[in-house]
Amino acid sequence: MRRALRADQQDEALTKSVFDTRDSIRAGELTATAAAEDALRQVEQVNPQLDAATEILREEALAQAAELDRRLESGEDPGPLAGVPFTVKSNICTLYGRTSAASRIIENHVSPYEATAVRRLREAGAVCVAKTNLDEFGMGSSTENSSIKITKNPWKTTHVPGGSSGGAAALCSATRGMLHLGSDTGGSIRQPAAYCGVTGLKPTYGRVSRYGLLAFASSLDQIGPLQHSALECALVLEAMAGVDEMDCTSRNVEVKDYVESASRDISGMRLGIAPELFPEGVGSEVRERVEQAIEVLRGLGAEVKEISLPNARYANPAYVLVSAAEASSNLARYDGVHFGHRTKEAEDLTALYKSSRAEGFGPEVKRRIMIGSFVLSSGYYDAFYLKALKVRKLIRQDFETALGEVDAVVCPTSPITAFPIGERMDDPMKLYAVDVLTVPANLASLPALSLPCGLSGDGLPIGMQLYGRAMEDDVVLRIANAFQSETEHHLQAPAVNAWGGEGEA
Amino acid sequence: MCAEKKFDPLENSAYEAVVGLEVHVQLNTSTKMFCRCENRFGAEPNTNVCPVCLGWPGALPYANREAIEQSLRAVLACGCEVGEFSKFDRKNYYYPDLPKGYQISQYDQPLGLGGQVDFFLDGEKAGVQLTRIHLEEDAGKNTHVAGRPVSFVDLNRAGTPLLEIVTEPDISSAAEAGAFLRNLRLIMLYLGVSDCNMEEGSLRCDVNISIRPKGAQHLETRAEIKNLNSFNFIEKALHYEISRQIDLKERGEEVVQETRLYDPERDETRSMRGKEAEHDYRYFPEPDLTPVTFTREQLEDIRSGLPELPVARLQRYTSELGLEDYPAGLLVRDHEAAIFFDACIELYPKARLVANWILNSLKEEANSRKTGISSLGLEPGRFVDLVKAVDAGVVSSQKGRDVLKPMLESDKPVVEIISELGLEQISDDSELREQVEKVLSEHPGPVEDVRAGKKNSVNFLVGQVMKETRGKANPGKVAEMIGEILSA
Amino acid sequence: MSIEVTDELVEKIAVLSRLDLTREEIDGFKEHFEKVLQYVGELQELDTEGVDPSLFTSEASNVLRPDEGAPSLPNEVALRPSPDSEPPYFLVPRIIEDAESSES
Repeated sequence: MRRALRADQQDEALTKSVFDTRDSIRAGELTATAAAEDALRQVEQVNPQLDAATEILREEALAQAAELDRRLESGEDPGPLAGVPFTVKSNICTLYGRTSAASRIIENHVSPYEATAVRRLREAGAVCVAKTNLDEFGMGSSTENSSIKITKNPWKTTHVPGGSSGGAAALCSATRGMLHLGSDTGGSIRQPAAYCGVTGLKPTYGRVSRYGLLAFASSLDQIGPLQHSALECALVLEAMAGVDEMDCTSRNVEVKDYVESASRDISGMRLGIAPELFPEGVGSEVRERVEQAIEVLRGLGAEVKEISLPNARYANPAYVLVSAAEASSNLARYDGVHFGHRTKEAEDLTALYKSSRAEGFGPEVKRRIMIGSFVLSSGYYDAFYLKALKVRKLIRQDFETALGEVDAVVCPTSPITAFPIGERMDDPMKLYAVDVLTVPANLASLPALSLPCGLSGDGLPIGMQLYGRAMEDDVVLRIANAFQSETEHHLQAPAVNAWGGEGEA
Repeated sequence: MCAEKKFDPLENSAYEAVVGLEVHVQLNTSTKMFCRCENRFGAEPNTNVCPVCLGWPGALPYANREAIEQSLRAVLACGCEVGEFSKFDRKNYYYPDLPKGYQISQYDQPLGLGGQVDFFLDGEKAGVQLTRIHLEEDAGKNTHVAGRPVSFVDLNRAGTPLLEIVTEPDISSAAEAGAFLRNLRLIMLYLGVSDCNMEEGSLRCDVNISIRPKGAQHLETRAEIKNLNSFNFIEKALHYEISRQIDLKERGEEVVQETRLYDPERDETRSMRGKEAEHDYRYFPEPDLTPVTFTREQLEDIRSGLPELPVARLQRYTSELGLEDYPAGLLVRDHEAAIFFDACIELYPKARLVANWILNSLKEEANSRKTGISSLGLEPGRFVDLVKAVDAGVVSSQKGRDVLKPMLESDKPVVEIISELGLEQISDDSELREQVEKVLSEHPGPVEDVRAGKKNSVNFLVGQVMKETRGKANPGKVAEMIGEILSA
Repeated sequence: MSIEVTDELVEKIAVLSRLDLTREEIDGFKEHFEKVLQYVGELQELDTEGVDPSLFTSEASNVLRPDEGAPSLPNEVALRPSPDSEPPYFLVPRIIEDAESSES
């Protein structure tokens, strides 16, 4: 099996991948407890600088690990991921720790049930070690909308890690040997992955169960991995994917051996470049790096041709409407009645709702709920929501046509690199703008992956994005893995890291 | 009950009433509409709940196949058009008994459109057009206690599957509304999709009512009356409201579009307090659920498998089986009795006799046990054995009634029970004649009266023979014999 | 469709959203809303005549579950996350029957 590692690596720690952790535990060279200790140490080391984890679950992790060691010692096979540590974005329900979605409205919410994706990892033997920070309820592209704290980019701590899975991306970038779950509604896995120099996959809609993921936009959300390599992503996907009897939008499609499929070569694969996905706003360095990356893929035997996605530029406005509308409805349940924050003084029911929600939600969440309520309201539904759904249909058709001519579409993940903290907070529209290249995948329900393809002049990671056909998550993983077998961008260390790797301070 | 003539506000009025009903029927699936909690009434509050019906963060709905199938039966039975495509929509509003802040319902593509329900009103066949039927989830329940500034929320009922049946404003009187509802309820009982128990809330009804000048075609402002949980209240509320609106009109005032509650203690409707804001439900297609589609074949299958409905059944009982209207009506209105009846006459075709026995004896037994006929656990075959025995004169009609209770308590064949209890009629004519002659000799007075032509005395003498024989004589035969002997 | 972003419109939306907004928030939202309307206004350029709206994310239909039960939560667990309860009930301020009542 080909791995994204090089035999001539000097630094042992740098080669440590999730596969290493897994194999060592399997071989009896490493105990689950030691692996958990190491993961906790790493997280505890970088968190003061990065603020990536909202909770470090030391006690719970060690308890899980001890139980696993007991089982391993008695000869049991606790599963394919036995002892591998993992972190979970705080908008995904876990039995350990809190599921606050970085919102005051449920800041102390302890979920009495766990998300299916999390359960499947745990049943495979993985150990939950931390919850990670995010933009409140997934709404944002920088993690600055978290009600808890702002996560810093490990490459430059004065810069954002991206969002909304900023905590997961930052933590992934600064540590080794563990799994990270994020969620993606309009780019929330891919964009922070790009900004933090890691690989992030948004699976095909319906590939991974949404049960236990706090809904932002039901028709757009997916849970997915952020890792150092495409193969690691493939490993996580294999463990989580599959139809779920608790989520009827999860699709009954066979779960492939993603790691095996991602390891195959890509000669003859057809890659599409759409000028609409290289719009004017794309920075020159970003453009350059992505174009260089495409050359590498060409060198690996892929054919590159030009395709057209004529309606791509309407994707973001459509996304703004669809996601706000669904969010306004999904967040109606946070009303202070039977869970979450309730205001102290309320003369009547209406006041209870209005005050609890006003006190509990952050500004961006309120804005989106308001927009969403408007979009669905009587008199405006047709002109806004229905119109957006028609545009969505056109975009889906564009991709169907394009992906009939090619196997994958290549483009930048974000027009820019990680920006300084605070730079875009004065105008939310500026934050929406960074999503233009990622939202089409959510609207079209397609798998999409971001992988690092270089650094900018000022040392910030640049991400390249791959779009695939529905349920062909392995194809984008394969292309990414092929790229990662030829290059080292994904092995670069950020300034803040837990293994003493050389990165720019 | 006093024999008061019910005041009908519409009699001799210049106005007519225009009434439309919104009926909610709780389906009797085993589990709720979108989760696997038990669908049952009467559980301890908040014990029949799960993350899904509690609306907890991260939970998702998953539609119940059986609820859809039951709904389709109802939709087809009511003659609705079923499209090949139907979907769920979210109806967004805030209320403590609505945990998600929206109700999953159906908006523009419901399971059924149009439709019609026929029924009998004062012996005449009538019909009410339906607008639509759709499937949705029920909300929880709020209760209050006097003197405390709180409300108690119980979410057990949240998520129960609910069929909403909307009529056209096709109904023109309280009596018609009552007849329609009773028949709709019966239809649901025959279909087996709901137990339609108004006390338990598995059948609820809201009423929309306006009035207009007699003969007019347009619709005037209407009021809505909610919270009606018995057929009786519905009719009373309608009566009151029609009067109220006529009064207003006659005084030159306008009817206000509003929601009113019926107060059974005062027998009046009252305006609900608070603003009458137009709800903006912001309906949109439910993204967490897939649409449902049906083929023509599937729908045909269901349609052909529907049980016989009340109106058709009544017609069969009267025209084909020769039952009188009254007993036929009684049977049809008790669906367990009707189904039992059908099973019995397949074994013994004497419809009137069987019907009588069911309505007089069996139903009485069931009523005394406060249960329905099907819960008696009686095989139609055994019941028919009893009817046959009476018909053949093995046991008298009167004594036959005494056989019924023991029949329900054991599995023994009917003839065995009859003989064990010593209830067989005297079948030997000579034995009977002996008894008759004995009685006649003991009652010379009445014998004279009979000879003198007083018919009543025959009954007296028959009665005496029955007494002597401890009921085992066949009264008809006794009377015959007396006549024979005394006319000789 | 040109929309005038008035205080009245914003307050109507705030009521639908059950949000108490400060004067500052209302002003801030008006500004933001106008930008959003302008941004999404671009969609009007696109001719979508005769296009079916994309209502669902896949062709799947009839994904239904059998009518089989699973254990419910114990009352204590159901009430645990609640801000105010009196077992076995959730508690809220007294509901005044008004036109806002639940549909059933």
